Order: sequence, then structure tokens, then C-alpha cells
Amino acid sequence: MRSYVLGRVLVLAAVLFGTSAVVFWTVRLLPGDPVDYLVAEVATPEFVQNLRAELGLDRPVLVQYGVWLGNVLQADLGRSITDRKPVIRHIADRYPQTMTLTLASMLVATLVGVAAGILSATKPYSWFDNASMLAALLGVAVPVFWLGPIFILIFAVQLRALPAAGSGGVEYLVLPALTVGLASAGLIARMTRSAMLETLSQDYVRTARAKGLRERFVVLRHAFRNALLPIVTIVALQTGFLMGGAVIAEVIFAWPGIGLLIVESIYRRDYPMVQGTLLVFAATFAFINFAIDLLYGVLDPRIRYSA
Amino acid sequence: MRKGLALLAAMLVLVAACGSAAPAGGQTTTAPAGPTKGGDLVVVTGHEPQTLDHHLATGVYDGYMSFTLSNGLVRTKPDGTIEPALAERWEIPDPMTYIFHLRKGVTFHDGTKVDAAAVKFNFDRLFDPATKSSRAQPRLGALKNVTVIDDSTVKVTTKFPFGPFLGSLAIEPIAVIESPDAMKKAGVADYGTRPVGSGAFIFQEWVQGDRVVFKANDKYWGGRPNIDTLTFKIVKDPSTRLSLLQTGAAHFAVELNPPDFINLQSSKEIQTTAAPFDNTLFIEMSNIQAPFDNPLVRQAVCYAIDKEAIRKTVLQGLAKDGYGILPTTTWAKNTEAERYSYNEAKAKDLLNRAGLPNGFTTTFWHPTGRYSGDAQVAQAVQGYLRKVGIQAELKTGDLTSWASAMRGTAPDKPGAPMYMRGWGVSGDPDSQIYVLYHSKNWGLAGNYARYKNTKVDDLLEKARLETTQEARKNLYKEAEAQITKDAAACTLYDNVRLLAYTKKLHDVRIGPLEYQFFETAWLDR
Repeated sequence: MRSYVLGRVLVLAAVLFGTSAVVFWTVRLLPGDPVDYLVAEVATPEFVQNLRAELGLDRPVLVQYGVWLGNVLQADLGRSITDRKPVIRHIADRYPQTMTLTLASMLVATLVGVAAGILSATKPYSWFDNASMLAALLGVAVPVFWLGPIFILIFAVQLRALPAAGSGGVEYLVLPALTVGLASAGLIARMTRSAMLETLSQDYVRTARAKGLRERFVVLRHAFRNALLPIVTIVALQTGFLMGGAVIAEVIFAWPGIGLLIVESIYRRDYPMVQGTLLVFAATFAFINFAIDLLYGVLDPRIRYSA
Repeated sequence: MRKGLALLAAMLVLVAACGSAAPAGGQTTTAPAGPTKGGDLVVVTGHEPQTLDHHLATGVYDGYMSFTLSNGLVRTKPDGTIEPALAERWEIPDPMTYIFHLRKGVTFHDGTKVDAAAVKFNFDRLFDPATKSSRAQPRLGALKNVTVIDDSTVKVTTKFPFGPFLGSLAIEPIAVIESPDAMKKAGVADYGTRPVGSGAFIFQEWVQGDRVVFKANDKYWGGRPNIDTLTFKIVKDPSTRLSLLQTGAAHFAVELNPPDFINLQSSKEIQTTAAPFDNTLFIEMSNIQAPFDNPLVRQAVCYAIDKEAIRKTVLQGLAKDGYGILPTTTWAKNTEAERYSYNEAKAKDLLNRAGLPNGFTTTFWHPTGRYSGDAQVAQAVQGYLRKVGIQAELKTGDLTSWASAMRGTAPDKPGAPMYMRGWGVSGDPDSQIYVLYHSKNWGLAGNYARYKNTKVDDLLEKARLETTQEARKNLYKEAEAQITKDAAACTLYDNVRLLAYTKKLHDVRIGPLEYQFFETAWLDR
């Protein structure tokens, strides 16, 4: 087990390193630089030059990367070019909001998806099954930036049931979480359904029924438990999608999270911010998958890798 | 399983039950007796300020916040004329000297006095290299010295006679006066998050990415505002801004999509205004790059575009027809300016004479989302150009991409050959026409098109030295006529800001800048 964990940690480190490099280069591919944004309309050429030098933008890119990486390894993500405040401060302020939204969406996606999937599997080809699979297909196909405004239109503007946008109490979380979660629920439902159909056709299920166990027990305790592995996999993989969806939802619902921050920082070419926030984002995703990988070992005793 | 399904159904029913109340009907407002006091006003905007430090203001909305919580020595009325603010009167004994007499008894929000020393401190800090204000030199570079005569009298001198000076003091966020005490305590790094001014609203908090909150200043020299709090919520998505307005969560929305705006015009609860703002939209062409270095080609482009049709169809009549280069909101507007009317045949003829009978190919850069309908207008322009044989490939991007595409990399290294751009008058027509068309401003300084005409340079410089409006107006008339003849750029129309607000809101001061002011606003209760 230990070497498995060690292996996973190395992979994690490599992923983060690679991501940081990719982010660093690609953001600089965009036309314009932070100074172009800062001076907006008009400035004197000397001012521009001085500012560029001060921000270290006139040094070769490789040098800039080296300096930045060095700092990162000492847990210093630098300062935002826009307001000179530490990047970590900005992230700490906004990160909890995004995580709240992501987790809420994950909850919606998992509950709805798993429930629908199990129900569909227990009554395959019934009206419920067909209906929910159709809904799942729609859920996968429908983009977040369409579903969001539709929900706002129905629930906020027409029904006045929920707030249209912003943050505050739980009621502000409902629509964004539904928007992002339902899109993902479709996929989870389909996966759950096929995993369940697979296990429900196994011999041990037939045995359990023969023993006289109640159907509910058979489905949940035996079939579902064994179907968990692929389901958990898909939920973990969906995290990335959910985080991405959260970014879009943040813009639509004016939810003050890190996604909005990333979008703003890209507009402003605030390099340290973009690099720092994306690194944290990638790290989150990588850690969650890392945790899920470890969870496999717990869930299925057969998967205890030895060297 | 059944339990799960039942749970889901119960949740949906619960949600529906919460909202079973009928949507709030539009109550027609009965004629109000007068301003009612109280209320929390919510304004939704699409941009967040970068900093609240008035000296470091650069972005679109930084000034908005500064003007809400502070005042300058003078300010502009909606019609563009200058009126007293912190200075109750002033004299101009000679063209390079201004003596301001400050209002007595005015204090900053932290209780310290607004006096001549405070004024001097502000301008000293503005020009202090340690402050690193990017706007100081380009916008107020004419300022020479600020001297304290006595507690309530300040003398300001300029380096040369500069007609636009008073206008700049009125418009520039960098010219507002804020508390020296607060600035000293916070230091340059931190002041941008806790400004202290003397204006109608006191800064409360700035939740990054979400909102900026103010509360009414009981001791405001102009009279306490009617509303209790003022919140600017930052909502990037224009449809979401609309939704917030429709649900009543916001009272005032800035920059809506043109189709949403049109739909709202028939609303019983919401008032729409296409507020003109001091801004003309141009199609600019790089005057030093072929084929646009030939004036005939530039003129052809101007004749090829049907501005009227664009205004009426693409913008649904929302933009105002401009006169010429200077927008209609400024005192220097020239109502008799010569313009290029739509004439496809003439355009083709000019291209022939320029030796390009088969037209040519070029790139056209335009912003998306900076001005109402900008992308659609660009497409329309592309269509018109195609009819005379000019193949224009459209390019667009975010603000920074567009800005860097236009500017080019050095004064003599232009950027995109053709692009769309709006430019406004900040207080004084000089801030537009001089910046755009004087030859020493090639490149980053504002003359992105690299236009040069020494006769125009002379006229613009003379207009700066003159101090009477009449004389300056005539000089600008001449300059405009020449610039138009040279077809340095093609004017499209006067930009407008699409605003919408609940009919329960009254007396908002709109324009002429990109901002709106809520000192006198009030809400029906």
C-alpha cells in the first residue's frame, strides 16, 4: 500500500509542475500584457516602460518562470498586479465560495444521479427508466450557460421563488447548484444505471433473493455496494467538470468565487493571479482524485496494490 | 427506489410552494408628493473598480466610485458646464493662475477639515513619483504648483495657458480631494481599499468581486442624500443584470443588451433611458500603413458606410446621430460640421482614382461588449465595405487584446490597419480632439491612427492657450473641418449608455460622464 501511495504522490507533483508550466506560457500567448490593461486609455511611454521593468515583464520568459517557480516552492504566490495584494489573500477570500458551490453541486449531482440510476436499473425499460434516461441525455447535452439563465427566468423572474443572483443565505445557492449539478447528474445517472444492471444480473444477487432477503436489502446492500466502484470513479472525474461549471455559474449568478476571479484576472492579464489561482484550482482537482484513488483501497479490499 | 423518488418530489413541491405567490404586479406610482427619505438603493454594474484610490484610478469604473464618495474643487453639470463643488467660487486673474475659495465648514468623513492644506496635500501626492499614478501626467500635466494662501484659499498655477484646465479638474477622478489623514495612515498600498472623501456617500466596504457599499453622509455639504445606503453590485452578465432588475433585487441597471433594452421599453415597472455619453464611435484607419496612407482610400471607406441604416437597424435607433468628431454633449459641438453621407458609387470611384479598382483585403479589429452592439455594428460595416470591394477580416477579443491591437508597439509602429474605437470628451473637448489628432500623440499617447497635419496641430495648440469658449469653439470648428476632409477616421455615431431603473426611483443625475449620481435620488416607499 505504501508504495502505491508514494507513486500517487509523485504523479501529483508531476501534474502540478506540468500544469504550472502550461498555464505560465499560455496566459502570455494572449495579446497584450498587464501594463496594457493598467494604463487603459492613455499614458506616457516612459511610464509604461518603467512599469514594465518594475513588474519584471521585460526579462526573458524563462527567467520569469524560474523566479515564479522558486517563489511557489517557498509558498509565495506573488502579488496581484492590479492591487498589489498577495495572491494568496485573494484566493483565501474567494476560494470557500467556489468550494461551497462545487460541493453543493456535487451533492445535487450525486443524489439525483444515483437515485435516478438505481431506480431505473430496478425497473429497466419502464416508463420511469425511459424518462429518466432521456432527462439524463438532455442533462449531459445542455450547457450550463443556457440552463442557468433559464432557471433564473423561471424560478426568479416568473415565480419569484428564489433570488436571481448574488450570494447570502442558502437560497442563493440553490439555483447555481442545481444548474451545475443537474448537468452532471445526467452522466452519473447513466453510469449508475449500467453499473447496477451489471451487478443485478450477478449470481450473488440471485442467491440473495433466493435466500429470501427483502428486495430493498438486495438492491442496496449487495448490488449497489458492488456497483460503487465505477460510480465513485465517475463522481471523482466529474469534479473537474463541476469546478469548471462552477466558474461559468459564478459569472451567470454573480457568485463571488474564484472562478469569477480567474476570469477577471485573465481580462486584466494579471499574470501572478492567473498563475496562482489556476495552480490552486489544478491542485484541488488533483488532490480530490488522489483521495479517490486512496478510497478505492478502502472500498474494495481486492485493490490493495503491492509493489 | 421509492423513498428517493418521494424525497425528490417533496423537494420540488417545496420549492414551488415557496414561490406560489403571484409575481409582484406593477403598481403605477401615484404622483409623489416629494422626496421620501430612507431606502437601500442597489445598482448593478458590469465592471468592478480596480482600486478606490483616486490617484491610481485607471479603469472604466474606478472614477465612478471616487466620485460617489468624494468631490473635486469643481464639477460638471449634465449639460457639460462647470459648477462649484468644494470650491464655492474662483477667479482666474491670468491665464496661468486659478484662485479657488473653498466652502467653509466642510469635513471629510473622518472628521478632519477640508481646507487649503488638504487640497495641496492631494495634488502633491498625485504627482509624487512614489504614488505611481498613470493618469497624473497625461491628464493634469499642465499643473505647475498648488499654494496655500490661507485656510480656505488655494492658488493653482499651470505651466502654460491651458484652456481645458478647469474642465480637467471637474472630470478627472484624480482631481478629487480626499482626507490627507486617512491617506497618511493607510499608506499607498492600503489606501485603495479604504478611501475617505467628503462626498454624499461614505464608503463602508468593498467585497471583492461582489459589491461596493456606501452609506449616506448626514453631514454632506450638499444636503444629506435621501437614501440610506447605496450598494453597487458587480454582475458581469448583462442578462443577469436584467433579471435582478426585474425581480426587484436591483433598482438601477447599467449597460443592458440592446434587445433587452428594447423589450423593457414597454414595461410598466421599469424606466429605460438611452443616456448620451460624451463619446463618439469611430472607424479609425492607420494613416501610415498602405493602403490607408492614401486619403482617397480613407474617404472611400467613409462614403461606403451607411451610418443612418446602422443606427436605425443594428442599434434600433438607440444611438444618437453625431455631428462630427466632437460628440453632441460637449459645448464645442459643431452643428454645421461636414460629414460623409452614404454614397456607394462615390466610394467606388475614389477607390478607382486611388488605383485600387478591385478593392483590397484588410483586417478590422473591434471590441465586443465594450459598447452597446459593437460586434453587430462591426459586422454591418464589414458588409458595406464588401459592397465596394474591400474585404475586411473581422478580429475581436477582450479589452486588453483590443487595446494592444490598436496601439501598436511604438509611435511609428502602428497596430491594426483598421479598427473600431470610441473616445470621449472628459470635461473638455481638448481631451478628445487633441489626444486623438495631434501628431505628437502618435501611438500609446492616444493618436492610434498616426494622423498628422501640421495645420491641425497648430489649431489644436492655439485652442489650448485660448481661455474664452467662443474663441476655442471656432478653432475647434476649423480643426474638425480639416480632420474630416483628411478623413483621418470615419465617425459612426454618438454612443449612448443603455440604462434601466425601476419607476419607483426618482431624481438620479445622469451624465454627461459614464457615471450616474445618486445624491438627490429617492425611492417610493
